[in-house]
Amino acid sequence: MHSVGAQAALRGSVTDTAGKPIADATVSVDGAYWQTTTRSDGSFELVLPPKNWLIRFRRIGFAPDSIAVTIPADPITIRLIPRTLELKAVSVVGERTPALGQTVTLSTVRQVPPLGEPDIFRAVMLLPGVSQPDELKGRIHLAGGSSDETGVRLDGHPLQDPFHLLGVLGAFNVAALERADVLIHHVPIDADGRLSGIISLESRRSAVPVTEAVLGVLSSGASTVRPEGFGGVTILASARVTYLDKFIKLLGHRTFGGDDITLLGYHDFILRADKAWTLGNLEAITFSTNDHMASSGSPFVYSWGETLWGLKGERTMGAWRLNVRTSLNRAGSDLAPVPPRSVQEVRLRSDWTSGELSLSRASDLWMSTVGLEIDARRTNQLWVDSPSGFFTPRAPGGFEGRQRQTLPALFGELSRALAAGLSSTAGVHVTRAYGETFLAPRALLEWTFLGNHKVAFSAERRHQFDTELEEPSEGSGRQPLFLLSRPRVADVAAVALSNRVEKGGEWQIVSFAKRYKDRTSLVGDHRFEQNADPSTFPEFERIPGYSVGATGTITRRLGDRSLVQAAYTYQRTRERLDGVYTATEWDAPHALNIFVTLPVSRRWSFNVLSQLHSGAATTPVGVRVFAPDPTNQLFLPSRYVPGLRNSAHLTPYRRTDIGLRREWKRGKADLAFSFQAINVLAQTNALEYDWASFFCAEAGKCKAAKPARSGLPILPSIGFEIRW
Amino acid sequence: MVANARGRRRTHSHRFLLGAAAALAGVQSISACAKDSTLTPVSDAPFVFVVLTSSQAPIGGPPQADSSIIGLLLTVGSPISSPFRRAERFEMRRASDGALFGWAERTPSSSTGGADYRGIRSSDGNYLLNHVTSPSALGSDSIRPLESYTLTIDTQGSRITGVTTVPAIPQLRVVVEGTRRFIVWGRVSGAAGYIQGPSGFFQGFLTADTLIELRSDPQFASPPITQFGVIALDTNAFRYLSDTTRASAGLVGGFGLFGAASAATITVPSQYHGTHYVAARRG
Repeated sequence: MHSVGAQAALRGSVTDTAGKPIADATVSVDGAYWQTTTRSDGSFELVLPPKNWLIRFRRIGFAPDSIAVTIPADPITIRLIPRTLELKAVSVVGERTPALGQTVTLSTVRQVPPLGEPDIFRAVMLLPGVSQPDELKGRIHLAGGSSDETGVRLDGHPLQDPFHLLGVLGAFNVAALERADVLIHHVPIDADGRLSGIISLESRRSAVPVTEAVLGVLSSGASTVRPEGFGGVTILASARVTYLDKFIKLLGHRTFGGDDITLLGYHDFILRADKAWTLGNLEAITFSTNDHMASSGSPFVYSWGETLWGLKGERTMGAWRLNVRTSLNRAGSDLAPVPPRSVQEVRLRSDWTSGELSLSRASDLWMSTVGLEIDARRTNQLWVDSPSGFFTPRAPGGFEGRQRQTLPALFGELSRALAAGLSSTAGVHVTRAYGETFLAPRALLEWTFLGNHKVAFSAERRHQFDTELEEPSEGSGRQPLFLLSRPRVADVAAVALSNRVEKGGEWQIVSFAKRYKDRTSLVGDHRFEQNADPSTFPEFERIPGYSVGATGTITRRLGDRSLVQAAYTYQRTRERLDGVYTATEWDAPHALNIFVTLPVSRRWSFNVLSQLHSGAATTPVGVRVFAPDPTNQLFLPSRYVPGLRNSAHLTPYRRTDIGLRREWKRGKADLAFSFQAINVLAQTNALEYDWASFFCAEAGKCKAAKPARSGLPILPSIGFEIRW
Repeated sequence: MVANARGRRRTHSHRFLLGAAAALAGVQSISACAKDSTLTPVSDAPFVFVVLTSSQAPIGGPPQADSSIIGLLLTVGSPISSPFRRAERFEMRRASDGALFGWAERTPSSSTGGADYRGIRSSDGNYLLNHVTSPSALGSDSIRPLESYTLTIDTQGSRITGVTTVPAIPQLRVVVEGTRRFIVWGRVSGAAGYIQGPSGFFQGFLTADTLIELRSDPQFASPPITQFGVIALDTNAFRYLSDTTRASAGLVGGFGLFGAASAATITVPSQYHGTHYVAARRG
């Protein structure tokens, strides 16, 4: 053991090959737990015992480097060599990626042919273990979980509804983001609260001033990072606004010659200010998103969005590090009644105040973290005369209710290096709720062997204290949220084997299992209730379930500018309803995503993305009976009574997207032009069949059955970016 | 030298491009061969549809002068075809005293021999209960609110039984509260839900509520509501209509519905003519 008094500071800086400082690079000590990140000017400081150490430097987009130093040592400067091709891979494994996690970078998002404009959540979908059975519903399912089990965080602060366009697109200007870490199988100890995992977004960092403007089909945005400006404060400012509503209105009038057109519009912004000192930093962020939906021929305006205010800081005190974080998030949606025509009204409010304080200490063989956190949440929800399916399939037409919840928690985690390349971590997250204590133990084992091979095993319990009514309908807005006195519980385990070849590529295989002890399932069908009673609604049945699967990812680099990446996922998800285990509606056993980027010329690159997965789970017809339709009393139409729930799948889903991208320099500016086409082979992907049409075709009375709902048609778009 | 290096790299890229394209096409065509796993079921089970009314036939058929009730007995068959089926015994009795009703087989006008893939006309059933009570059997004019009735059908080895209770007749009235105008009917004894709608009954809506609000709206182009109707449904009929996943209600041993309903209409006074109505909340 080394005494604190014998330690000395190792100071230095990290730059690129042009001498520009690199911010947010990881500086770690080989064989020990000490590590830090570079400040906005590229500088760092590590306090180490006097000894020979191998210091490693890592930053996504650069080849890792290392240097041997003897403490005490003079200040050092490390130049990292850019490796931009890596950034274009859909999934980046290793480097600063958390254990068992995967990272999507800003460059990836720009490279993937977008749906109108680059979207971080559309790129996340391409990762193994991440699924989106309905491409018109942008909600994300991680490792077979329902979509409300997926948490989204921005710089560590929890968000509630970061989606635009009724959930189709993510609510982030990607130029303001640096990366998304997708944490499915192992989440950080201070990020408990979601059963399926977390998408952890990091806002953009840069050691040099960057300004960027993006013109897209749907919107335009501008972002700037000004490091160490007035008072040494680094500023990130980003805003985006759409002209989609005006575009649709113009197109609608010309195309249809009518006034009653649905107009969707949105805007969002991120503003971050941070300041670093020698021994710490402080950072404030605000994020806001707003959507509105109107009809050009009616006075109704439905609007929704959320606002985040967050503050976090870090202070190093010798071998100790103190982290503090607090945030307030308010999400809501509004549809005001327009008298005298209607009483239709929606007012959903959901406030989430969270605070966290943790203290960690690292040494060569040990690392420990203890902390406390508190989440205070409040909902105030009212809706009146909402049409069937406006929220979830079985939601009532009206409801009014309020809830409050305060969840204090303690957590602690201890890591120990057991042998060369072998480390273990054990921890527990203890939540106190409604007079009861809920323990979530966890363990992680990591072994690096044969150079770059790595095995990781993780097992943990997770709790979630909220739920949506059920999986929402396509095209629905923000969902009502209900706070639970007894949490949903899942036990999660995964084992991963990965290998990283410095120049050739990487591969990763993950096997996972999740056992739900306490899923929520809404009791009853409330579609015909105009005013659900808040004393009895909603009632949730607690049901067991499970999700098992395996994923494989391989990335192969061919030369300096060619890359191919394939990700395969096999997963099955079952839940027990009425005593029978049946597939969930988002169950899609097989999924394969292939991403290829190729140079066409010095400035042009060609990108191809092919997605294939099993068709959406569907419930086949069990029997046909006849029932009157209240709107037509003379005829008893066929009624198709469902068979075993979700026991069949629609035809497999296939989509190929292509993109051409030209990147060049003009003076000090980097310019990029992109042209892309979604579903370029015009494949029809059924999301749902209308059984009447289906059987009409089977009876030979109609042409071949067309799906009642299909996925995306051919969608071409262009984009232009300028950075300086 | 530079040119050669570039040339080699392009060749490499083009080969790679062709290979990648071939691989993608291969995977796409493999997935295209996968078959739709949706099944088309076939069933020999019987299907029955009988709705008793204590007034003019409100569901399953238009209002009729003689209020005969027509019933359906089918074999479920496939989603494409459901043929008519004969019963060895088609027996309905009043629960209180066991009195027998006079159901008899009738010849449907349909040439299809049953229901096709679209469905079937409710007036084209193959069993009939006449309006008039005879010395030997009761007719539909003997069906009374709040009475219970039993059904027993023996058909080709299957026995179907059922019970239903006819709801009371809704009492509709117009209520004025300040500037707001409601049509209110209150909870109807024996009813689990209602079909409500303007006159003509061709735009009915299912509801569990007991009032609607009349609104005047110049922007709304529909003709004014001058008459309004409410059909009270017994538990069986409401469950069958409201839950579209339900294959049967009020029956054991077969699919379909044995239910009951009572209807009433109200003439909306001219000074309250609404041009639009909405499900209402008071207050």
